[in-house]
Amino acid sequence: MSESRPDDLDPVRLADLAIDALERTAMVIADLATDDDADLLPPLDEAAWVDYDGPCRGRVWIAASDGFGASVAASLLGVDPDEVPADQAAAMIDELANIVGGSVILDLGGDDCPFRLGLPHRCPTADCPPSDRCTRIVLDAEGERLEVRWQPLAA
Amino acid sequence: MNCNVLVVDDSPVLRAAIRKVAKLAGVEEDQIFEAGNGQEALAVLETVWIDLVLLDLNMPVMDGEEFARRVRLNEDLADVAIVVVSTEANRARLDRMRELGTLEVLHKPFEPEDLRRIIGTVIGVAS
Repeated sequence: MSESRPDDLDPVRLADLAIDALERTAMVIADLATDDDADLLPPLDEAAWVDYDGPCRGRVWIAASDGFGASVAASLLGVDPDEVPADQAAAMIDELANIVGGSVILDLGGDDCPFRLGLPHRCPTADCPPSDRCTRIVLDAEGERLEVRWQPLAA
Repeated sequence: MNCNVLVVDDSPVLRAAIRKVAKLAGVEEDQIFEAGNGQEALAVLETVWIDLVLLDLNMPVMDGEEFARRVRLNEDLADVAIVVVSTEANRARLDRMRELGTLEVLHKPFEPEDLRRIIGTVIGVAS
């Protein structure tokens, strides 16, 4: 468990959780992108969010560029990206929201985690909250853009 | 290896990935079954004997906890091995799953080798 309070998650920790999830799930290597690096990454194309509740509530958003889902699914399944069925590529974004959300609540709650995670929901990328309303990180995932946002919600 | 495995997860890509690991653990392709939620999984159990269920918890329609509860209420299915493979972190819920007799809890994200080892251990007992 991190030193963070249950309502506090800093960008570096959020990035660590997302990077670990990608590496352990699909052996995809990702790095935190600087502002200059992020400008060079492809634009966002798909997004999903998952809520959690417990002593406090929050939402984890995942948004990614067009080829990200197929790329991660391909790595997970050991095939070429163009061999990944469209439904599996799309489902990868939902599953990553689920996995990163699970990592977030485990980090916030520790071994006696009191939080409950909901089901992931697909959404337009335009629905993702702006940076001043959430903790936001941008990752370079082997040339694809992956953004993770963490947003505390009112009780 | 004579062992039927049921993968229960609402994510088709995770089901495909777990199927791949199960094959690496020695389970034959035609002995691996899939379901997208607990209700579909119960339907599979009505038609084929399953030795090991690899069970996600957070799913639509019927979640993994309700599925496990119904399985344990059925005398014919009391010996089915259940391993939880889930992002679930809630301690109280995981304790309830252990009370329902789940053998292991593997937290996502997981290392494929960890899942392969668990499957190998369980089906080694089952075969």
